[in-house]
Amino acid sequence: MIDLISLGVQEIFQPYPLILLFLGTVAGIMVGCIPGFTITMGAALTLPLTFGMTSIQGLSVMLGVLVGGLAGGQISGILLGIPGTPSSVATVFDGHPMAEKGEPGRALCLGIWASFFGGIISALILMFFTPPLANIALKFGPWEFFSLVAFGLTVIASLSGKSLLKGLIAGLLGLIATLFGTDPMTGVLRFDFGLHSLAGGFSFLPILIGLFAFSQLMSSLERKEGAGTALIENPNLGFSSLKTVKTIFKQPFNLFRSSIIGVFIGALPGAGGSIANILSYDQAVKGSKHPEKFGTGIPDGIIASEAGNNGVGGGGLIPTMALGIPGDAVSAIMMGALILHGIQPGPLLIIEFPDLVYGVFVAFFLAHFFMLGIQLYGIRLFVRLTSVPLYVLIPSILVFCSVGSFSIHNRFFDIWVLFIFGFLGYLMKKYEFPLAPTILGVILGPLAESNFGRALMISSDYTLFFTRPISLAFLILSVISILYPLYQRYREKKRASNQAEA
Amino acid sequence: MKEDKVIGIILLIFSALMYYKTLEFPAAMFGTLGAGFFPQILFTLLALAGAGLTISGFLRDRKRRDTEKADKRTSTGIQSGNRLKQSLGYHSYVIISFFLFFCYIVLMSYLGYTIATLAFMPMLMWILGPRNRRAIPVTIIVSFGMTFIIYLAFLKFLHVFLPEGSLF
Repeated sequence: MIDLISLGVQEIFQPYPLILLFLGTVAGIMVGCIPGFTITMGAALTLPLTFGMTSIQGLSVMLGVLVGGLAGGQISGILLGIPGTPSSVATVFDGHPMAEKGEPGRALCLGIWASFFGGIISALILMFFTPPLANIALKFGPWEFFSLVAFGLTVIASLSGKSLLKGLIAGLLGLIATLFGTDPMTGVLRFDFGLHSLAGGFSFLPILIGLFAFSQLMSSLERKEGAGTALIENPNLGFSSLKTVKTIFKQPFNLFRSSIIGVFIGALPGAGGSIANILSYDQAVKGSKHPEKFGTGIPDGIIASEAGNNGVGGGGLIPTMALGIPGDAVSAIMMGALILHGIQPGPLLIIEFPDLVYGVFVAFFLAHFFMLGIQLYGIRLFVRLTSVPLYVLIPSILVFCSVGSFSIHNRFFDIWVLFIFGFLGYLMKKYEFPLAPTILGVILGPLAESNFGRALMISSDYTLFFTRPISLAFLILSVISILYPLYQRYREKKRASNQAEA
Repeated sequence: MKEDKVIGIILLIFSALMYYKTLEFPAAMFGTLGAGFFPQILFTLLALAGAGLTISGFLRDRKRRDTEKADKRTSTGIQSGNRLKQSLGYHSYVIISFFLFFCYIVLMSYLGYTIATLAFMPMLMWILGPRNRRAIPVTIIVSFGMTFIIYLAFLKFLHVFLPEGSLF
């Protein structure tokens, strides 16, 4: 274990990866603190910049974006009352009242340190749990992998949206997007409609940028008056870190529980920072001796929500690194980055590229120290960033989207793909289809199809999917993940009608 | 929701057409699995989900109609006209931006990335911006600055090409 970690340390502690990790963290905090911009968007936009780098350098940038983004969302949440990312919604509940009471510095400082500790706890769990999980997964055959992919997709479909059906449709659309072009098993051209450009299929990157950046930008243009302004008054930001750390360590149980919730939610496919953030807050309220004080600006709420959402980062990376099944959209992009560099994620990853995997662990760990330093000393700069008007931001990022999509294959067609999926993503958001299942479908589609094909080539017996125990377990779990929300809704309805009668 | 029903039907038609297309794929040479097999599964599932969406839309509508029967008021032509106008106003920036981006891609295919960007950015910024005096220098500086930064970053540092136009 120690020698493997030192292998990772050797990978990361070189000038270039360190600088990139630092820059990635800065970029992440920037994306995080601008309301309307999500971490996924930040990761999608940084991905094209990493082509020229080695895989560990590219991943360093993106890990920085992830950690910075998870922590940066609190800035506008606390100061403006508008969460910078969906992952910091619950931070606003106590963070903003505390800022209004004249202690914005204290609120931010608490958030930063809680994020830091939450992240560090999740990094440790990531390091210790990934190798044994990968070890188990090494015994998987194509049947197990197919069932695992099916499980991952159904869970994300049922967790990520309001409607199970819409989540499933979103996931299916992602899977379908991977069907275009040459069939990986037989080499037959599928759905090219006579278009030469479609023979290669849709590339992952323009789909990603279209769904998560382009469509997001368009949605933020919806309110007409919203495009012009977004301002903030000059708050007093000074506060002592020592006092903050003392406050946090007065409630170790809250910190620990919230971080663990974050890690667990992160490791579940589909449930990301936004759910962890709210759930840890909720649990903190329920477990508190003074629940009535929550929402008035007490430290407990900020600690719970921020430790919770930063715990997600490490949790999401566990299934990504161990199984090659991403836990959420951001880890899906991380996986996409690996694939772009010619590395197929999966249980073999940790054996074939231990330097890379442990490098990722170390980089993730280290990014939290960068995040802490950057936010403690540079927070004033980020606060100013929240006031950059949208009419400047949106066109700048749109032109960046187009060149980013183009850059992967130098194919002009990819810019059209960006446009098409940007439009699709906009419509999906508009009609309340979740986007995360789609991107997971895009990532997992080829994996599902090739494992399905491989399984049937080894033996044409379909029952093997149901008779191999691990495969069966995953399939049962995916059926449960579909049925459980339906059951829940039925129960709610029954309760509602009972109440109406009474 | 009215939209759900329509979306469900669109998905149904889409899956049916695509399923039909898979029938053209050559049959498997060995084993049970042809190139069309996996797509067929997916389109069947999508068709089912689409049908489910439409049906659940109808069911919800019927329930709502039952409860709202008492104070049912049909909207007049003028009202729905107003609603359309309102919705257009709400979405006007989105529609314009999508349209401009479309033009931007077309322009890029003829004139290349740099020139198209220098035309697209000021235009969109002008439309979205406050259109006062202060916005003019900001627009010019940001447009040229961003184009220059992308040019430098991609071409010089990352060694990635920018889209070239067919006219040059």
